[in-house]
Amino acid sequence: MLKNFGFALLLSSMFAMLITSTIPARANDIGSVIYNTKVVTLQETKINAVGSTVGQYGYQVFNPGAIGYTTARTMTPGLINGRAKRRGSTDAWLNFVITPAKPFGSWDHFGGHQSSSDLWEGEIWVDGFLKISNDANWRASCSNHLSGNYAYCTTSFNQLIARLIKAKSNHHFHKNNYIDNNFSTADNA
Amino acid sequence: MLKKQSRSFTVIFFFAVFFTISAVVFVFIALKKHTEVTIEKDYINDIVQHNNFSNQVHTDSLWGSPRGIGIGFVWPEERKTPPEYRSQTEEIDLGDKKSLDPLLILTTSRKTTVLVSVILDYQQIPFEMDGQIGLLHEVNILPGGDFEIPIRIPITSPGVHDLIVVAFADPYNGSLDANFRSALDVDVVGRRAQIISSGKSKPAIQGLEVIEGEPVPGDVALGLGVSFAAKPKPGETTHPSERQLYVSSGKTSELYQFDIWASNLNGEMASEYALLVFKNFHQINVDDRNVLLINLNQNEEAIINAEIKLSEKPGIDQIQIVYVFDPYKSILHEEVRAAFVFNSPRLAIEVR
Repeated sequence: MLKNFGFALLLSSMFAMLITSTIPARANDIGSVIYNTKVVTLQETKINAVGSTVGQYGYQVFNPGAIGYTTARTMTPGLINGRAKRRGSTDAWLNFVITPAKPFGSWDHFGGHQSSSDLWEGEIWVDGFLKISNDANWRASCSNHLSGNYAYCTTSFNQLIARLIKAKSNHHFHKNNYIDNNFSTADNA
Repeated sequence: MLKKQSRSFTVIFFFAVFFTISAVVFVFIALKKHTEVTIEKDYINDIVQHNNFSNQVHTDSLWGSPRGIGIGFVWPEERKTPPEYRSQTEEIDLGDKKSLDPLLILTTSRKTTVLVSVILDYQQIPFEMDGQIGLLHEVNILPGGDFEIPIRIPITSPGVHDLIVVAFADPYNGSLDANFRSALDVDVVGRRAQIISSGKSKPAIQGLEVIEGEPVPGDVALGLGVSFAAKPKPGETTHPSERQLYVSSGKTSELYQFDIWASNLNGEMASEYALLVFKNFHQINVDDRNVLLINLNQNEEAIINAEIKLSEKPGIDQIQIVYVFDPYKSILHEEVRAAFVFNSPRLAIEVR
């Protein structure tokens, strides 16, 4: 009896897997760049978020689509093959915190949003947004609008219960004579 | 006997699970089909399709592998020159010439359909691309190199002109999935330039009314640049951040009401925002004005009540705002806050 039940369950699971594997994925982001295609954990820690450990609750774990870059031909000395990279990345992560106001603990939900470039840009912008994954409405935003080669900002909100989150960044690069590059990256945690 | 019963139970259980999963999958597919809609080409007017290009169009792969959607100008004689040695294209003195004739550069990481349009002095105008004149030029850009297309933009009146060339990506995607629409993707790319014609230094248009912003409420931590909010119900006083609008529905020819929400929350500096509203990629007037000018200081926002007439035939109307900073200020001399061309989310309204 149990054996048959197990067999039926196995058949059902296989059928379910077959059906769901044929359902098309959600439409891809428009205006995105070529992304990494696997989950990677960057070893280098540029931003030390207080209380966060690399790899824990999604901190510095970059899902597919979280890192993007584009190249521009340049004569700038020191760049390999004369190619300058314009990069963008998004990191989404959570952190458990205990505060006097919430002595039993709560969850900070974070987004880290970064634009960087090999070129000294006239304008290098990053705009960051953060929301609960299955909610259409965004909850928090941040901006960092600079000249130079690096821009970073963070978004956050606090909830008693940990939720799945999506962080999104829009990256903009402008330098006289070069083409403008605008693209998005996104990460989940 | 027991064995037979057990087998019947297994078969019934299997079929029960089979039918339950099938039902769930069919409902899921039906919902997907409802939300994933491809807009028919004749729903969007004034499109010139460029299926074949002349030998004047180049795909230049010399710059390595271009990625992302990029947009820019290059003079035909400087095609082979590395970018830092090219002439600038931010401020162009035409002298007595009556048209601007650069090559438009488009790059992409993957095959992308775009509608290219030109906005001169904040008014969408027809222009020539690869020998054909039209308001919207449909181009399929492919990965593999800078796509360089000759364009000709008529500049007939003397003075300083603001020029914006925009490319609307994925125009026929009529998805009604709010999560897709709220993705805040960069699905419009654009490039600005200032054109000086006949040596005149005065802007071609002046004297537009400017809307002033108000401080963002202290408890609001969200600004989406320029976006849409549902019209509040009578007596409702919620902030637009709680009424974000990405997908909606309405009746044919109905006046659809909504709010335009422009925010400079966390912006490092004040600037004048010039907003252009597009319905199905055609510029439309708001309060009889082709451009909305909003002055927003740091941490200020403006909420503007708006209404548009929906299309006369059923389909998906797409509403999007393209905006730039500081009209008629010099890009070359860094008087503008940033030379980017920005976009709001692309609102989809199902017209029934």
